[in-house]
Amino acid sequence: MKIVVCLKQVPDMESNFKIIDGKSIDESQVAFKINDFDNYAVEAALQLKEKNGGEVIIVSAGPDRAAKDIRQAFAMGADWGIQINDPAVQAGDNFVVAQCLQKAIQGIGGVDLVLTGVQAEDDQAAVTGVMLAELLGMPHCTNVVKLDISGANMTVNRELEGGLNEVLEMSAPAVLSIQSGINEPRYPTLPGIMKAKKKQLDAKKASDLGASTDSKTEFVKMFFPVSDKKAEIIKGDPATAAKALIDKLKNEAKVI
Amino acid sequence: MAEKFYSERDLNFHLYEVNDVASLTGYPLFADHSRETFDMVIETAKNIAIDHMRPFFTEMDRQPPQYINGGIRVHPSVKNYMKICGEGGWINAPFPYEMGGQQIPLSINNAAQFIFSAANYSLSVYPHLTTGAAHLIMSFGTQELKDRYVPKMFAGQWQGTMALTEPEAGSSLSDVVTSAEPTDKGYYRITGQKTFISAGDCDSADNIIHLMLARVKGAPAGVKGLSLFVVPKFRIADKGKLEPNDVACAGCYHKMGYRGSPIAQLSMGENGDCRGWLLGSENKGLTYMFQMMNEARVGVGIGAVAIATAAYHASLEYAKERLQGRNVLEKDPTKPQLAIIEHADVRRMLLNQKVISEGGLALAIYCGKLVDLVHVSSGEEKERSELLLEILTPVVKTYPSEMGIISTSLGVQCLGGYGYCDDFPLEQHMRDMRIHPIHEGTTGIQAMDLLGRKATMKNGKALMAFAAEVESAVNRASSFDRTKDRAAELKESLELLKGVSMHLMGIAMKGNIDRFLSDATLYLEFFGYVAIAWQWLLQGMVAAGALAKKPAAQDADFYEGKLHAMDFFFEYELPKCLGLAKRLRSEKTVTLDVKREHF
Ligand SMILES: Cc1cc2nc3c(=O)[nH]c(=O)nc-3n(C[C@H](O)[C@H](O)[C@H](O)COP(=O)(O)OP(=O)(O)OC[C@H]3O[C@@H](n4cnc5c(N)ncnc54)[C@H](O)[C@@H]3O)c2cc1C
Repeated sequence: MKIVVCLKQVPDMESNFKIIDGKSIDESQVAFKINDFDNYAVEAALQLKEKNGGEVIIVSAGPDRAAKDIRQAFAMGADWGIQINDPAVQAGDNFVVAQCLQKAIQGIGGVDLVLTGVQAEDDQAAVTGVMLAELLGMPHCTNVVKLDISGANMTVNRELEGGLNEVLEMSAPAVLSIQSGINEPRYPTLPGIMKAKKKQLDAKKASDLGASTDSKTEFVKMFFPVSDKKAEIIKGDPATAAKALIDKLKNEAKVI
Repeated sequence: MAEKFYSERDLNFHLYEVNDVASLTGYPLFADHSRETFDMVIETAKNIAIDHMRPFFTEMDRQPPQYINGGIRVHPSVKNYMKICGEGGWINAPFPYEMGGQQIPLSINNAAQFIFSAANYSLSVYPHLTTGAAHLIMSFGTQELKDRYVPKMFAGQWQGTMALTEPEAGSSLSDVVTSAEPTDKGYYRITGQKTFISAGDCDSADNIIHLMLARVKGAPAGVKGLSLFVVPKFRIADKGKLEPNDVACAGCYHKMGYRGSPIAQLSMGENGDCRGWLLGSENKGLTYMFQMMNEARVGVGIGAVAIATAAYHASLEYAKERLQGRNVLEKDPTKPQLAIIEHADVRRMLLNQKVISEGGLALAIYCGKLVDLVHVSSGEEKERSELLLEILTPVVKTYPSEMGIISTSLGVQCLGGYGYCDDFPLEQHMRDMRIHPIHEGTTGIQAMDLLGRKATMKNGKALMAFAAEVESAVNRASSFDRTKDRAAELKESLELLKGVSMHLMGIAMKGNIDRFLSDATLYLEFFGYVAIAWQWLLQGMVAAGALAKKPAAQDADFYEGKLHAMDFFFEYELPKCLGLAKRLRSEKTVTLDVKREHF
């Protein structure tokens, strides 16, 4: 089986974020890591490879710093990868990325399965996988929590609200967005880390892939949400405070 | 529980900004490595520590090993962790490729060990012990012994131990009496008792492989008659079947701390059928053990520093949140209370912990790199590294161990009554720490090693190598405004240390060896202050240099913090040398004069 995993490098959400001019974040104080959801996708791909043979290819759009996390996936056991390292793609929206991924995957040829994470931890858009499926003309399933494959036939559990699953029959080639918790991602082994360095990582620009860098959306600005609502602490002994509260609920908030 | 148990930023500072560990990749042995592989190793260690070690930190203390039906049952997480370490290649990480290892520099391995130990010291020792035991077999064993034992040890399925101590032979290994009688079948018949053997029995492993010191019948008395044996709990019979090897586990001690790992009492040959296989030649046992000693003792320093670090971060987190009291200048009792970190005395306690844990880590990372340099370098660089490692080994083992007790106690103190209760991890850290001045040679033994052997070895060459390193740092630090006064103070303390050393050696030359060694522990303490002041000066220089480049706010705070900590060490800790020097030069021989009847 030829399996592609689309992997995104994201900031560690525990970093201290600073926004520069409402346009971007100050990366100098931010640590980067593999998007957690994609880690599950890598693990799912590795398990399929262990069962059915074949290869696992990482495709990632990201700047130089993303290479370390592509190699992290190599250290877990992925075989080789493509890094779309292009400032124009960086500046583009999810559609630009999806299109680059599409062209890269078509360039590889003969891909049986494309796995993505459900969403990225940073923009939480959850659209790249869906767009990619559409662009590739492949069937797609989101929120995959269980996956059985026999030949080209797949049985896929899709997570619904309220703890329900729906079970779908699909056939490869297809695009699946993997939900967290589907497996327990492995740690890179030390031999894996040593091998990762030597694995092939091809660098591509949008023009190499014949992909357009025109976004479908326009970026306006980013900012920390400001709350103009303030909580008020009502002081005094319980009886007085309760009276004051009732007064406020009646006359200010007008809810009782 | 406190979430942060070490600082990634600080660890990277020591590894890359102060010690330039990445430069090791310039040596052929480490040429396949890069900063990127180092980062990946350390990142993976962090994830393992967070997912599989830290969650069991408290539980393993509350549910310590149990002696049941002649065996020891340990916490279930041990087996899982050993599996992860085996499959991940952690147990054989530092070994050469030919031995299945990854040639990971000790500097990096130590950094990983630091993270594991900070997360859960008890759990961290199981694979660590196995690495040590396998290392001895790989270094001195026959191919047959290697093939029989090592693969399962590397896989984390078989546990390794170091079995030296006996009821009558703790510090004094020359009194080991466990005996080994040669047979014509290629093995020796072992009879005797061992005590306090870490992981000496545990149900987490399918077999236990003891690396055991014993005396071959008729061998000379003292350490010159000790040989090293592989003594498995189960020996390998025909077709690889395991059969009992007459090693009985007679009990498991109840410990003060570090309670997640058992220390066993072992009895060999009760039925006359315990077999041991000799490593290398007869009567060379202790020599072989000593070849691993420096690394093992640096390892204890790492373990101690790790516990101190975890305690520091837990108390820091608390001090930022606990509201208590007001500024001494605030007269209005209705004003809100302050977080206790705003009180000068609490900051003193936090700074004291910071200088001990980060200063100790600095020395431990430095010494780990020395071990690497001894392996890979040649000529003058190798000789210099060897001398420095020899003289610093007792210091890097002892400073973090002894000062770690003070540091974790300060951690408890920061939490007041809550620190004394087991809802917070501080009291456990303090108990866990207490082992370090005892195992791998007590502080008293380290002190005699430093003064009696290392300071005098090769006509004082090791001591001079240390002095030269300190002086070189002093010279460089003299050119930074921010460190030049500290450089002068360190130079003064170094001269004091040299003077005291000469004074003591004068006593030794006159043949008064008992007097020469009677205050060796004070000498070691003195040496520790000078060595850690030197490490703080090195850190201070890097911080001053980095600040001159106007880093981003978060980095600037980090480097300023380093400079404040350096100042603290020079103001509050280094002056203690003066008192020690005074005592070490005194003519009064109080501890020699007092008799047992006087107590
Ligand atoms: C938790 C734990 C784990 C251990 N793990 C292992 C292990 O895995 N393998 C193993 O072989 N051993 C192990 N030990 C044993 C440990 O190494 C010994 O306890 C240690 O070497 C001290 O020996 P002792 O307990 O007999 O104390 P003693 O040797 O009786 O020492 C008692 C005190 O006397 C002092 N003293 C002794 N001799 C002298 C001297 N000549 N001059 C001045 N002062 C002296 C010591 O410094 C100490 O303060 C472990 C011990 C513990 C507690």
